Amino acid sequence: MGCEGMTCLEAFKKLDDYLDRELTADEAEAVRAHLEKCQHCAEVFEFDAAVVRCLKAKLSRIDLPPDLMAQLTSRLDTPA
Amino acid sequence: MPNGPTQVGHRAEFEELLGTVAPVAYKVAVRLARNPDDAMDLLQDATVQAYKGFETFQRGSNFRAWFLRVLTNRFLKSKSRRVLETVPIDDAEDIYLYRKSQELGEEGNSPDPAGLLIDRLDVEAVQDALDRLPDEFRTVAVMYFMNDFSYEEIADILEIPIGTVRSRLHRARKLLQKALWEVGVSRGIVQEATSGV
Repeated sequence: MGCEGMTCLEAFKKLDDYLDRELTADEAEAVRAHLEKCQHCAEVFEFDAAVVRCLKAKLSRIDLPPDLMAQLTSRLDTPA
Repeated sequence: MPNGPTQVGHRAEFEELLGTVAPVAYKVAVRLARNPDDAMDLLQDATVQAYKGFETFQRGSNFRAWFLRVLTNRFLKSKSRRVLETVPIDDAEDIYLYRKSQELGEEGNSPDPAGLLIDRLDVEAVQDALDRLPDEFRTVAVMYFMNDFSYEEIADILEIPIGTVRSRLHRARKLLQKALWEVGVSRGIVQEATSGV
């Protein structure tokens, strides 16, 4: 795809880091500029971002045992 | 574990630090061990091991990373853990789910195709997909999807360079997308477009 500036391949390689805010300000700006111009890359990015959001929401939802600390410290008092 | 007079403060310090990491450590343990009972066993074993090695913890450094390193290593060395069939590493294709969702007419026309697809998978199905990742990718993915760790902290926990975290995570995402699709198909939650959806 012929977008000016960053190519689709270059942008594609940086999408994960862009999503995770692990790029430098200049790199992030270059990706953002590409996504504004390239509809296909923007769609892929939005899709992957949504997948990550959904998975994080599902996988981080875990109920903690109310006596978590008690269960852990009690093991310290149990002879090996 | 007997407590001498000099160990009372040592124990109190350990418990105070443990209290700050226990919730997230339990959540990581659940995702690694798959269920609450095995997770508690894993976390209790890690707690005992960490306490025994507490002298080696450098005061002022990141206790959370140190403790989770103990937990993760404990998990990886566990001989009783279930070894599942994993997604072939070379089988990771870019934008796998995106392409699959585009092949499905309904989702392809939805304003949120990814959400529709993932919403159909319950947490157990997502956990099944996660379990299909080879260990080196799964451990990174567990930390990442807990939504609580930066690349830098994952690198610290797993004692690997940050660039390795980045590359493993990139691969893990691709593998997970393929595994999610396979789990969805095997459970009849989604169907291949060629089969008439």
